[in-house]
Amino acid sequence: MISEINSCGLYGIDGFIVEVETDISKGFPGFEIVGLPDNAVKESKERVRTAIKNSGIDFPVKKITVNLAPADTKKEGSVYDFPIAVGILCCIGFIAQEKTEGAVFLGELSLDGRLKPVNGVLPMVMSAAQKGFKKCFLPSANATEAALVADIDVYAVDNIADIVSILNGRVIREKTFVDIDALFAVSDNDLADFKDVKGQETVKRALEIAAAGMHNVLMIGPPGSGKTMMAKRFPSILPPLSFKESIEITKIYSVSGLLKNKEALITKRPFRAPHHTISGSAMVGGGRIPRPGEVSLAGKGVLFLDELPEFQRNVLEELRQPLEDRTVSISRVNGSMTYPADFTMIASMNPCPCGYYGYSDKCTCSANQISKYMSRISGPLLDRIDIQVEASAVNYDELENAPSGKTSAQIRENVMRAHEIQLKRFKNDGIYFNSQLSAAQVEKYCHLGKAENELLKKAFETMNFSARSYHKILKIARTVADLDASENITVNHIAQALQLRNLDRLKLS
Amino acid sequence: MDENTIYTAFLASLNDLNFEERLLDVFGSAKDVYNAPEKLFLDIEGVTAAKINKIKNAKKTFDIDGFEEKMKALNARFITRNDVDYPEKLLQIPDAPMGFYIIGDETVLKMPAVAIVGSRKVTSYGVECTEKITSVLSQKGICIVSGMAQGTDSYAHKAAINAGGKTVAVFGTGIDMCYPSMNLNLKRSIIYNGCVISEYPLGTRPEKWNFPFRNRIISGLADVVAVIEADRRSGSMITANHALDQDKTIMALPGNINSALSNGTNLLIRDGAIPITAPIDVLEQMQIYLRQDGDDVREEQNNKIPLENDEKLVYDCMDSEPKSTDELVYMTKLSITDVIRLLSMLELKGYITKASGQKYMRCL
Repeated sequence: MISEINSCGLYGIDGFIVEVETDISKGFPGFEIVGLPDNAVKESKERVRTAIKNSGIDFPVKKITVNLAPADTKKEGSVYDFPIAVGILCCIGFIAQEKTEGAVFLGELSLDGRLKPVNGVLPMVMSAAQKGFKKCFLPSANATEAALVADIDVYAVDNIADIVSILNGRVIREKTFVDIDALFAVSDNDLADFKDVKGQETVKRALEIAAAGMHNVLMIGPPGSGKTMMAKRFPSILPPLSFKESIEITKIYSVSGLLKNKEALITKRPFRAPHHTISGSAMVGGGRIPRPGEVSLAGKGVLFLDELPEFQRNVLEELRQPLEDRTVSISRVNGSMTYPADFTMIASMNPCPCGYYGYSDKCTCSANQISKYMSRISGPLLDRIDIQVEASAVNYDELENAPSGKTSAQIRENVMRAHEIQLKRFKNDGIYFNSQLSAAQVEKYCHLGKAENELLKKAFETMNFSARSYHKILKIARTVADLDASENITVNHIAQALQLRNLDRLKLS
Repeated sequence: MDENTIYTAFLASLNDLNFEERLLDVFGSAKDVYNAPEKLFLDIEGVTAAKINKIKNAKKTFDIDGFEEKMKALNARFITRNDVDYPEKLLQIPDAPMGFYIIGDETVLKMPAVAIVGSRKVTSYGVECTEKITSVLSQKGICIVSGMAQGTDSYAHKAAINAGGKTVAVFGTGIDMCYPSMNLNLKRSIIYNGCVISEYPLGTRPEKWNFPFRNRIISGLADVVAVIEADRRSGSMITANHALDQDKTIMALPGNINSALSNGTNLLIRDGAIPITAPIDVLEQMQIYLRQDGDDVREEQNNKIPLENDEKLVYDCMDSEPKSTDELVYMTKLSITDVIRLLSMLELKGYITKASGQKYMRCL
């Protein structure tokens, strides 16, 4: 007796259909799984056997062969427990084969027959829906996540006895429904707000401009000046996630097993702040079978690198490709994966190892230490950071008396208007924001008048800028102009941009 | 290159000035020192075995035959005390070197000169003043002498070159070295706009005990020594001490009494150094009177582009103590957008300058 059950596997962040073929025949009793299973899949033999037995069904004492097709792709994880069990139940007549047609089965089994949640459900169910499957049976804990996919009915299953009842029509199971609007509605309230930040007007303005043009930012300042606090509030001034973006991020979190129980959909822009001891593979993705790294998890949101010079040099260098291409390709023996890495980088650093150089007499670092510290960040990486802004040391009086500034919602409004202008302008260019402008595109879109050119020329003569600042200043000025809804870049816009390239001008050695 | 020069270079490579002078007294010429048998040294009073070893080692390491070729490759000269190019000023200081290596134009050593010295760590105030003073002096044809260290020294050399003036760097290493190595480009432009000199043999690596001693050459080549910023215990204070021994005029830039980098200079002023209140003070000490040319640095402010209304509003809130943008926003009641813009305009018009820590101050 042979049965055929459909399930799904994962390749990177995309799912593919796996056929689970089960054959039970006479012969020496045994249980074999073929089709490039990894250890977790091989071990599922014991879970399946025990789960079926503990559900009150006699496990057949026969020769059982399971094949996972396509047989040349590696299968991993515990997601095949459930389809294998269903396959065996089909073979021994507890479930009729035709009842399983047009359905996919996903889930891990516990020894008592209950279904446990698995990772990567969203992309797997999406691939099933694409292939035309109409039904999907999976653990209740995964049901809301899977229900986000349109065109496929999701049924939550509690245990093996449950699936037997459902498929034989003894129990009517309602399909799982998820209210997407409700999910989005709650997400907006719990974001930290910019009105809590007193002082630091320049940095706040810089972050507004950064959000408007999706520029990467480097903040330089002494300890305790509020760099982290401001970075955390950056997502609150970015436009809300669209459903499409949301699904894209949720896929990555689903694959990485980072979806928390009650949260079916990531509706907030991610804020990732990896510690500076992070390894290269954790940052960009990696492992024997490449997994998404922090750059992918920060997609559509913020990757915050606190204490930038303390990161390992090679880790910082690996950021160059994702910053440029907005995707990251990782090649390992077991395959080469491309993950999205569409994030805004916000980095912060102290001006010297002790943190106080230029801000107070407390600094105890030698001139040599300071220039060594600054040189830990390579030129090519700095090249990818448009805005460099200094945070001032905050004193108590200022904290007391400073008026609270604009709220995140007010800033967000401006930002969204600037985004619209850019999307309209770049609709034929394959880019979305000013930060992505290539050198040729800068020439095209950042046209300057005579007065503006003169101002910029004077600035380069007197203000100590390096040559690489030229295009950055133009890009920033373009964004400032967009915030003003101005068609042309004016003297005022350039004058503002000039104050956002501070690292070049720090007099450090 | 004559024979005596080469042998003097050998003698100077002993790196022990008193001993070198003594040997010269006894033997009459550097060549005779080189060729003297070991026995003869023993007869000189106070000569120990260690010193004789030193001579033996120097003979081994100093390549008499290859010296000229090596110098040619570097485009360098060795100037001895007998040389006409040896500057008079230097001859007159105590412990004048036997000779020194030079790459570049030796005539600048005889120009009227000011030594600008200061700490390697700098504040924005120090940098601002260094650049200001140096460029005024350079424009008046005064040569700037310094030590090409990080910080003040480098800023002084750069400002002199940018102002089209001449500058001399005195190394504490061999002249073929570049310390700190990041100043390689600066070294090239100094050679192009003046010269680099050193009393240490080719290939001498940076050793911390060499630097304080070379400072006497920095002050020796100058008529006025200007100390920009210095900690109480620092190389710049050593230079000031040398200048005192050499009867040079010492000037110091007054600073905030709470600033660690100004307590040395303030101390100098307390002890009688002349405070620098404007670049012209240094010129006056150099007895170059500007009025001859009809312009005055003190009146230069008047030539600036006039300010617009709101620019003036921001400028009026500022002084020479750095102010942060936040403070300016609260004082002027303008939006941050306007303040940032106006700061750029003020900077470009030359009224204010940026200090570290997102702060701005008025120009001198």
